[in-house]
Amino acid sequence: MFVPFRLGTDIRREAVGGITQQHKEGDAMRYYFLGLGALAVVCMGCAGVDGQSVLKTDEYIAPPAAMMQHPGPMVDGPGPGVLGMLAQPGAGMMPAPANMSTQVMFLGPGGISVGWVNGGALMLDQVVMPGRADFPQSAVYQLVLSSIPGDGWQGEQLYPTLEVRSAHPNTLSYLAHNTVPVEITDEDLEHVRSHNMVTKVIYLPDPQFQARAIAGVDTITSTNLDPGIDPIHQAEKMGTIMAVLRVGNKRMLDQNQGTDVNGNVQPVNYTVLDGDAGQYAPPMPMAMIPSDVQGVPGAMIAAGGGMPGQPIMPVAGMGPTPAWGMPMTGTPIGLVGPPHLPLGGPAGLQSHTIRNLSDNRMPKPVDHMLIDVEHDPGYGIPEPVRHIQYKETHPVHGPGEVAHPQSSGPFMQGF
Amino acid sequence: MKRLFKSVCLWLIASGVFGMSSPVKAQDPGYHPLNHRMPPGQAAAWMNTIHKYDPTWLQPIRIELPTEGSVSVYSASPEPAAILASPAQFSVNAGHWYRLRVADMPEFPGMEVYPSVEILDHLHPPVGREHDYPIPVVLTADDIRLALSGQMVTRVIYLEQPQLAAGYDPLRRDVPQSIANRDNALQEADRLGRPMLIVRVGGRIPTGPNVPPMFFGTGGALDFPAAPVAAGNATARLRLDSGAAGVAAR
Repeated sequence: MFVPFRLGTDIRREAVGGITQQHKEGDAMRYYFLGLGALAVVCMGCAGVDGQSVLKTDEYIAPPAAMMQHPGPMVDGPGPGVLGMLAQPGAGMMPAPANMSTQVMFLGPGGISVGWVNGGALMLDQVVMPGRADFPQSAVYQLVLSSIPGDGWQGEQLYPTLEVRSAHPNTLSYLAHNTVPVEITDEDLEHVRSHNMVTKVIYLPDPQFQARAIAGVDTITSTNLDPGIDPIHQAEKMGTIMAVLRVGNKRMLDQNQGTDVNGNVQPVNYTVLDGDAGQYAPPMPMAMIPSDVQGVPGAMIAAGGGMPGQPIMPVAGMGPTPAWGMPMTGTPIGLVGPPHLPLGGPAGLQSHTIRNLSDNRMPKPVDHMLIDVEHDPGYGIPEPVRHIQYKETHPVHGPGEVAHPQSSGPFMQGF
Repeated sequence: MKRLFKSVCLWLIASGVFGMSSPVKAQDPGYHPLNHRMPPGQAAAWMNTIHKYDPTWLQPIRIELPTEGSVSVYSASPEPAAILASPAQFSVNAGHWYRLRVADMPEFPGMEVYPSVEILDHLHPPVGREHDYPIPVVLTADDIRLALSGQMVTRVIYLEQPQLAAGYDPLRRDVPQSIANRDNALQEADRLGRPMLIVRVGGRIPTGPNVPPMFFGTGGALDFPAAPVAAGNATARLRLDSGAAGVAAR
C-alpha cells in the first residue's frame, strides 16, 4: 500500500532536486492520502454500513398495504366524482374486506361471565369464559364482567371497555380466519383491585417481529411497562393493533351518574337482560372510532357520493354529505387536512400547504420494451432436404444369360 | 510517472464510486409484491387480472382430512353449497376464494374449523379427464390442532417444477415444508414451482346471523361432479405456521 508513496517521492527527488524538503513532504502526504482514499473506496465498494449498497439502489420498497389493494400500486380509479360510488376504492377488482367484525376470544379466567351494553339494555352473561363473540369493528364497547373467581370478587362486577379497531390490510387475513385472544390474568385483577388501570393492547406483529408469539398475536399490558410508556404507541411500532381492553374499578351503574366522561347523557337505569335466561343480543357500540382510518384514505368524492345524474344532498350531516366541520381536505400522502368550515367562529383558514419530502424513487415509465427470450438448449433440427438424387440401375441380359427356375412353372412363350 | 499514478488513483476512485450504483444482481431474488399475509382474495384477484381466467373453466380440487369428516363448501353465502364426505372433490373458479367448514372428525369430536381456499391458478389436464387431476388439499391433524389452539396455519400449494420435483410422492411427505413466519411463502412457492392455492386455517367460526356474505368467499362458481375421486397428482405443499414454537425453515 505504501509503494505508490515511495515511488512518488523518489521520482520527485530525482526530477526536481532543488525543491525544499518541506515541499517534498507535502507532496508525499498528498499522494499518500490520494492513494489511501482510492484504496478505501475500492475496498469498501458496494458495502454500506448495513451490508447494503450505500445508495441502496438494489432495494425496493413497496407502498403501504392499503395502497396495494387498489387496482395497481399507487393507481386508482378514474378520479374523484367521475363515477360516483363506482370510484370507491376496492370496487371492481379488489375483494372487499371479508369481515366487518372481529371475533374476540375471551380466554379467561374460566367462569367469568361476559356481558355488554346494547343501547339501553344491559346484556349480562352473554358469554362465559372461555368463549367468543363477534364485535363490529371500529367501535368501542362497554363490557360487563361478572362471576369473577377469587377471594374478594364475590358479587363484584368489572366494567372494562373493548376498543375494536378496524381491519387493516395487514390484519385482514388473520381476522378472517382467527379470533383475537383477550385474557384477563390474576395479576390484572390484582392491579384493578389496587386501583390501577390495566390497558391490554392486542396486536398482530409485523413479520420482522413475529418469532414465537402465540397465534401470531402479541399482547402488551400497560402494567408490564415502565411508567410513562404508552402501550398503544409501543404496539403501533411493532405491528397493527386489533383490539384494546381497558379495565379499571369504576362502577357503571352508580345512581347519580347522569353523564359519561365525554358529557353524553347516560341512561339512569338499564334494562337488565340475562343470557342465562336465554336473552341474547349482540353488542352495540358505545362510541365509534372516527380516527380509525385504514392507512391511506381512498379517493375523495368532493361533491358527495351521489350517482351521476342524481341530486346531491346539500345539507351537512344528511346522507352522504359530511357533518359540519368535518375535515374534507384530502392529501396525496394519506394525511387528513385541516377542516374547511368554521368550528363555532369565523373561518380563518384560507390555504394550507403540505410538502411531500419523501425520498421516493419512482422510475420513469417504459416507452419501449425489449424482451429477450432464450431456450437453452435451443431447438436442434436437421437441415431440411434440399436435393434428392434417385438413380435406378437396370441390368441388361442377353439371350441365354438368365435361367428360368424350374419352380416357377412351365415357360409360356408370348406371356 | 506521477501523472500515471494520479490517473490510476482517480480511476480506482471513480470505479469504486460508480460501482456502488451497480449492485451485484447475481443473487437478486426479484421483487415479489404479493405475499401470503395479504387479505384473502387479493393474490387471486391479481392473478385473475393477469391471466384473465376463463370463468367457465372449473378447476377440480380435493379436500383430504386426516381420516374422516365432512366438508361443507361455501361461496359468498352462509348456506353451504354442498356437504361432502372426506375426501371431498369439487371444482372451483380460479381467481376466487372459498370458505370451507370441516367437522365431524373423529380425532376432534365436536370441533369444527372454517378454512379458506384461494385459487391462484389452474392445471392444464387432458381434455375430458379434468376430474382425474384435482389439486389435493391435505389438512393434517397437526394443522387442525394448531388452528383449534388459536394459531393460524397458511399453506401454499404449488405445482413443482420438474427440475426441482422430489422423487417421491410429495403429498405423502411426513414432514411438510415449512418456512419461518417472517418469510414470504408465496415467494418460496414461486421459486419451487407454480403457486396454485393458498389454504388458511384458523380458529374463527361464524357466530350469529350477522356474518357478512364476504366471510364465505367471493362468489365463484362451483361444480360437484359425481365422478369417483382419483389419485393425487404431482403437487407439493408448503406450510407456514404462524408463530408456532419450534417451526423453522426447512
